[in-house]
Amino acid sequence: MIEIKNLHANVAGKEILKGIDLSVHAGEVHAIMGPNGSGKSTLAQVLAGHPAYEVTEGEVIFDGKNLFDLDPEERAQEGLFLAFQYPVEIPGVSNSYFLKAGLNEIRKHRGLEPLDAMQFLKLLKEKMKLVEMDSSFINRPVNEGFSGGEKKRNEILQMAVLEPKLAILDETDSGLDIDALKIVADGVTKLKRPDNAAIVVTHYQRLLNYIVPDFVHVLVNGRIVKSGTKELALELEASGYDSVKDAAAVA
Amino acid sequence: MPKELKEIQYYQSDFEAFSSNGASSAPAWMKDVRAAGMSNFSALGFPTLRHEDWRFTNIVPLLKVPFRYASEHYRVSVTREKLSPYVYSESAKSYVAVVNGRFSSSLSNLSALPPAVEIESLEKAAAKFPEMLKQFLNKHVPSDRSVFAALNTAYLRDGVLLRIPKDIHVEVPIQILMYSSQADDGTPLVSYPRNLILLEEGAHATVVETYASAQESVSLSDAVTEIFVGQNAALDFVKEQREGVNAFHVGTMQVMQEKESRFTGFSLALGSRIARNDLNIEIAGEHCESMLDGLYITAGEQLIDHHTIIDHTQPECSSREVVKGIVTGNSRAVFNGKIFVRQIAQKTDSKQTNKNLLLSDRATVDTKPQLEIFADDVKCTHGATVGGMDPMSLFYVKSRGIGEEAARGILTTGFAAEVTKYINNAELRHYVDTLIIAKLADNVVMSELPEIVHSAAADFSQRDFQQDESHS
Ligand SMILES: Nc1ncnc2c1ncn2[C@@H]1O[C@H](COP(=O)(O)OP(=O)(O)O)[C@@H](O)[C@H]1O
Ligand SMILES: [Mg+2]
Repeated sequence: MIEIKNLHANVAGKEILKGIDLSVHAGEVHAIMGPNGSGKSTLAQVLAGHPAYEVTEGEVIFDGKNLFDLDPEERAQEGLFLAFQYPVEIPGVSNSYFLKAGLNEIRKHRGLEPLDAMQFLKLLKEKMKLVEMDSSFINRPVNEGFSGGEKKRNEILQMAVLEPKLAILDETDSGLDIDALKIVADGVTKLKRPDNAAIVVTHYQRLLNYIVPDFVHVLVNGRIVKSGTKELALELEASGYDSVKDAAAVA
Repeated sequence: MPKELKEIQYYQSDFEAFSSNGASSAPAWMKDVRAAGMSNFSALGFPTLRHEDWRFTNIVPLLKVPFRYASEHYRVSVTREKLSPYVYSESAKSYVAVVNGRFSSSLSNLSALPPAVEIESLEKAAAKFPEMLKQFLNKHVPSDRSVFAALNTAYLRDGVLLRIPKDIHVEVPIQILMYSSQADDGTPLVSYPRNLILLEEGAHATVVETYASAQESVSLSDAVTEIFVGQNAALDFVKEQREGVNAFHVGTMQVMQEKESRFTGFSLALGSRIARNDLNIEIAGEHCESMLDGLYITAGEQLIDHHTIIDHTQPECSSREVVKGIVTGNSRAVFNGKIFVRQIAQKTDSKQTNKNLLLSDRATVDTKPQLEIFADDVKCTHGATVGGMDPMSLFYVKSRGIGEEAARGILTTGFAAEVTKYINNAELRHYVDTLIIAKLADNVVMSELPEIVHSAAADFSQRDFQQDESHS
């Protein structure tokens, strides 16, 4: 699905990612954990194509294509989705318009007919049930005046509607109370299929009780210093990041 | 002889014809007002870029056009059909038309207006209610400072008198449709409409003042609108300025508020080759609320200039001014906003911002928010920004599969929505939103624009201002 090879990236002239290697196959869920500032969001943003991040070395093959040949919208059309750590508010534009515009672009790219208003509304209502979102959100401006938790839920709603091949969730758990966390995790789990994959970026082990990962990677200071199975997450919970940081320093 | 002096003589000589012909039947007091206007005009002269209030607005293109006063001498064919694109649907039975400065009953439709509301030609009203007009007309117009207000005063003749009597609440929005056109033979025409809007104590109304012109027509409207909001009265007012690209607009809105009144004004400025909007509010009583918001969109070779004054002369009043601009192509936008807080105006709460979205590197914005505070116990903030599209927001939209073009459209309408939300009346807000979308589609060549939606039932007034950047 996605193969990241020796990825280096700078932001504002400073190297943040210092050689990342990671392969994710269809059907897998990978968790990326690591302390604050280690470069998790940078990795997510680089994959989605944020223009502020400069790739200086390495390559990423997404579904057979060189990811860095594609604009952000083309990546989305190819089936990449990033749930933002800090979703952006877009005043004046309704959630439903925004999602319909995105979905129809993606459908067009896949050679499918655009959905008309009725068809889209039906789909949207289904997906909103999945993330237990009130239908009043349909006509509200995108993320405007949403609470932190509502914004995160809205990201998952977008993911549910756009049905990506690869979803990257950047700290979707932060700022959620336990009920909201369960709903979000539940949504993600229900959307899991043999032909798609997810990278779940998180700071805490908590989310991984609900979204069980196949692999866990620890990112420290721009490098993956340790990889393992879900037990690694529990280990980290018990001993903290310092132990792996020390390991990274030794290595 | 300096060029501006020559132009003055030109307008002066047209004035001779004006006062000795069609307008000669005016009452003596009005002739005195005119004469004072003319002498102010002659003393002030047309401004050059050296003039403090005109530093960024070059009016030479306007002065170069040999405008003639739109007297009866020139044939101008205007029909209902020509006006109909500019009639606000909610006011289809409550609008008056003013064509080249002259009130036209035959082109108006007032069938849905409550009979208590008085609305008619200013010229007729001057004969009918001389005492009332003498009391209110031209009492606060800055003819001694503003050359175009002075010129309008010199040519004072007609326009609209609108009076909402005491405690009358008018539900239906009233539209004053100001239409200008060149003569049928192609002569460029100038008109000097004067509107007087009086809300007596406790009256409520919504008024849309629309400036439109025949699309390709070469015309100049030099307009003055005087507004009195009586004690405890409330006026929602939209000035909608969308004359054609060959038209020029210089307009002064002069608002006077008595105690406990509310004025909520919105300036939608989309039209003309050069447009200058002087929007002034004098808060003359305690516990008033004054809102003066607006949006300008400039494209092509347009220049739109807003000069605003909110003058707090009494204590315990609040004002909010949010003016935004979308500036594109080769166009220019100018904003100058002054807030005065006089020494006795303690407990004033005043906020002002001007935010500009600059969509072309050939376009320019000159913005100057100003606060002059003479009282010590006040809360005032102001600020201005000029910037391009926010890259983070653009990235967010594109990351959902939406291409550059559509993403820019989405964010541009969103930028506009953040100020049209201040229009209280939902239908009117929607109308304004629709005009904005049309302007962006036609003149800024944006495609795939979304319909603007607003957060339901939100009270925007204070809450989201705190999120805005501002400094005092
Ligand atoms: N746009 C940016 N400009 C400057 N520095 C940035 C930017 N984005 C991230 N950084 C820096 O890059 C480092 C990694 O940040 P980030 O990827 O957000 O970490 P994480 O998501 O793991 O907490 C931090 O030191 C952060 O300050
Ligand atoms: Mg992060």
